[in-house]
Amino acid sequence: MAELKKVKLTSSEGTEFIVDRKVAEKSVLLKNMLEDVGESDMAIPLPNVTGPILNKVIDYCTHHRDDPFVNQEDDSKKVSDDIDDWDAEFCKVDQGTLFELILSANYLDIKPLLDLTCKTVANMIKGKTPDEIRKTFNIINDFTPEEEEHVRKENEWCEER
Amino acid sequence: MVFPHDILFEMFNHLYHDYRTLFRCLLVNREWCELAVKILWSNPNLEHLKTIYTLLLNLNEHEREMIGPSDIIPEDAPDLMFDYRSFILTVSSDKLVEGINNWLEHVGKNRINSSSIIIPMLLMFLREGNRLKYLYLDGVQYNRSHKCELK
Repeated sequence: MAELKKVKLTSSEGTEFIVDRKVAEKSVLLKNMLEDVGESDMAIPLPNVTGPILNKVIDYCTHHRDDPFVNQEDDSKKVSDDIDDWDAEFCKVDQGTLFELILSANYLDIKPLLDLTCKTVANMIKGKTPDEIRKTFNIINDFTPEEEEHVRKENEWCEER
Repeated sequence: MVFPHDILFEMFNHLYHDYRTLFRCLLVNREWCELAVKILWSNPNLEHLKTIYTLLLNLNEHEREMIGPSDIIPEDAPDLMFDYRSFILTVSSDKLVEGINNWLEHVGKNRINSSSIIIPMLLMFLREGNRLKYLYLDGVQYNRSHKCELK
């Protein structure tokens, strides 16, 4: 019966969201909090998450509510092309939103969402030159030309077979 | 867009084994470089002669002495940007031998037996401050008749 319980969450602007406890528990942070607090009608404030992003996160957790819990330590086999259709569609958002989703997944400790969003960014990087990557993410190149040349030289085995 | 450190690291983890993309990440800026290099070198292509070149430059004085004066190690090489060998998680001797032979052929020293280089290399991987998790040894022989001396 426990999974029928509802949990109240408040976004940074103070918007209240009511979700099934089972959905909220996809977040390890919330799961631990709920276990510590026990039965309570108090809303849990999430000052780091805006309403629109919390809405997306809840969408994700609702869709994946019945997924088995994945082993966090299985770091050996990570491939970035195994994203299913629903997840791919979910990630079709502007870059700012994607970035906010990553930060929220990290903060709320939702490992599969963090994996999905990081994979999506990793896929955005593929096939781009360093300069295109910098442009995409607005990154400033702080290498001296000498350093850049050293890094290139010491790692050029990557470019060849 | 500034990615926090641990998130960048997480992202690069998804590119594990995608050497080309990681290489391009290395060249983005210093921060990306410092993080991506750890993933890239956790399991580098040891069969490639240029990987071996970089690793030869990582040998310390004692390990260089073990190889002896055979002109295998480039003399005028500049200091390395990173202590690459310290990032390596997996080493298998057959790939290493393959890479060393490729390097020896490249520098025109194919008469030198790769075993005189593999021992100091293995010592380098086992040296303090490494992250080595898996070491696969297959048919590696240590033979005191060459100039090696284990301290």
